[in-house]
Amino acid sequence: MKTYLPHYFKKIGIIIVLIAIALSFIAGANETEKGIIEDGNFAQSVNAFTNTKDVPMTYVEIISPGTANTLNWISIVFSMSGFLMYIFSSEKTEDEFIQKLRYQSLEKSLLITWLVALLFFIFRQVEFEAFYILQIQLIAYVFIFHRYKTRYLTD
Amino acid sequence: MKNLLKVERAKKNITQAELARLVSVSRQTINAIELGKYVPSTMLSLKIAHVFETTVNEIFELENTDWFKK
Repeated sequence: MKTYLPHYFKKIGIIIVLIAIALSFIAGANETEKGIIEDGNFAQSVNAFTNTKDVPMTYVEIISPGTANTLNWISIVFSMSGFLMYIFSSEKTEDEFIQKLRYQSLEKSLLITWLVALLFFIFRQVEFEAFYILQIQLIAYVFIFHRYKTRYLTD
Repeated sequence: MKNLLKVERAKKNITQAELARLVSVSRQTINAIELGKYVPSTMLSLKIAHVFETTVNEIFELENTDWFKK
């Protein structure tokens, strides 16, 4: 598999993925708040701490739904871009052994991705949008390739 | 597959790093070959044999198990 980017793009890719994770947390702030409020235990803890009795927690919209959708979209774009930069950047030393490990990682990640997609399709428990399946392949590739490097490229 | 890479290196007094530099691979690749974790390509095998001034057959040897698919 050809690599197109210099080695330092690995760090850039990681930074972009971290930004994507942060954006997704911000985008999910409203849902997180709803979840916390619906969980009665947290409300009881707050009441106990503030020494108030049975004061219900009210939901306050942190960010607008439109902003949340936009942040979600940006997060997905950043995430995919970051992973692609990481995957297609060179190792410090590129040789035939690294190329072989790349091909094996690609093969395994493809298999894992389609097995997961097949399971979700069969059991229909969760609606899975296509780009999440692509994300799974990118993430799986990164972990598998890293595991191969750790196992085979020892000192 | 067995290999006598370490023995040949000792004969020529070459480190893994130096051999890796001469055949344009990483030192970890040479280490993986010596430990039997990686079977080099024909090209790389020929390069290694050229560095040690010997033939590929003198360095790499097939074992009985190599004849059967895993």
